[in-house]
Amino acid sequence: VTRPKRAGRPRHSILAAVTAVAALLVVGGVVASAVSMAYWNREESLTGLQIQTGTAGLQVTVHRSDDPALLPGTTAPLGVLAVENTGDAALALSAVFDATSSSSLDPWVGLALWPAGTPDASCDAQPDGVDAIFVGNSWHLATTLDRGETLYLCASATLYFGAGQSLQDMPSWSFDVTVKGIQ
Amino acid sequence: MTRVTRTAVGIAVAILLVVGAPAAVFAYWSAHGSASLPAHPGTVPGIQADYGSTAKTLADSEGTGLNVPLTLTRTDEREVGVSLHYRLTAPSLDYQVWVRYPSMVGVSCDDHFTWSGMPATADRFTEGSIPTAGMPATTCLSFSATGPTTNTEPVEIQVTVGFAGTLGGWTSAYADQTVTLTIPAQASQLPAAVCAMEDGSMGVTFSGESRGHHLVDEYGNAVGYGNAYPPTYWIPYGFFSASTPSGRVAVEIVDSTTSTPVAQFAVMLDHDAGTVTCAP
Repeated sequence: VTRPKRAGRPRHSILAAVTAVAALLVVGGVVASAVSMAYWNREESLTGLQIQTGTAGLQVTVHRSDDPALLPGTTAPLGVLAVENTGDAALALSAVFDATSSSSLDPWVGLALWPAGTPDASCDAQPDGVDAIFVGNSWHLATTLDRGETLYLCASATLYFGAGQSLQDMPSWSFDVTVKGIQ
Repeated sequence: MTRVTRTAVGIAVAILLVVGAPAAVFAYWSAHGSASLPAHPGTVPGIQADYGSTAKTLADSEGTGLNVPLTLTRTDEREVGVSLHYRLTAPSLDYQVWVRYPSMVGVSCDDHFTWSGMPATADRFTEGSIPTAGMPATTCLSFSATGPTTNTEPVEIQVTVGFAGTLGGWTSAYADQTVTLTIPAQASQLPAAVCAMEDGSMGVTFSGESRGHHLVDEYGNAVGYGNAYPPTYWIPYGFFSASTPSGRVAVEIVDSTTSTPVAQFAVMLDHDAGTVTCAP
């Protein structure tokens, strides 16, 4: 047995139309009331405005290289490093004696690093409390570098007694230092 | 996408949100930069030695020591040790030279100290060291030589001696000097003897070493005997007597072992003057 179709609009379409009309009335009322109480205002917009995250930047350069001649049992200034904060945030500094130009140098060379005070510091006198360290160790500089600020660091090297004769025959040496900054 | 897949993706997203969000909140920002600083090995100060003259003549060929006072000077103010090496160049391996040096710098040849010595032969290289507490300082080397005693010509032996500074095991370049040691000719010196008459005997004293020889007359007869130190030969009483005519008597010095004449000289007798002289 089949049920005969009813003529005219279906019942659910009528319900949807009623709901839509009610919603429009509510929105219209709200808007109308807001407009009636609105302040005078003006809005403008700028195009191209971007919001970016800040960066932490540190640039380390050799400000002065003394290229000293080292003999066993002597300490001599290596020069001055310039550490510039090129980022957007102040950074707390530390440094690492990374490497020497030859692993055979490693047991016989100690490096000391300390704030120079002025860019043209002689770095002859190693301050009390500043000790030379071996490759792989770190200095705690206990210094915060503000954005845009430059810090000058003195570096000196000590060649200890016992350095082998083979080191004497090397034409040159180099000592690598990495300065780290953390926010 | 099945229900299982949708569930897995949902769980993963939830984990990322739970773990990642706090990490992002507490993450530090950091930066770093590196630089390299150069240095180079220093030069150990050198040592210079002043020998005065580098031509030295040994008293004889038996090995009498020859002291060579010298002054060592460092080439800068740093205090360094001293290292010595020497090398010998001799005409043959028959010759040996001993180089001796004091155990400390700063003493003269006249002081009493312990010698440290090593033989230096023609193909041998020896190295020693002299510690020092301060420079410049005086020191002393002593050379002695041994070799054949029958050399009729002077023998020259070259000894290259070099001093270097030492510091912590490092060594400067050696400042080499060549010292020429001359061993006088043994045989050629014998005629320069001194003769003297004593109670009818004649004594002949030579400079130089002449051990192991004896005297013969012109007929090959042994006429005397000798002592090594000093090398003195005596022609006994009676060989030359009043009946011996004045004039020249040939006398030879003969190697006792090989019976080889090594020198010949003449004894001049003059009865009228009462003298006896030796002549080449």
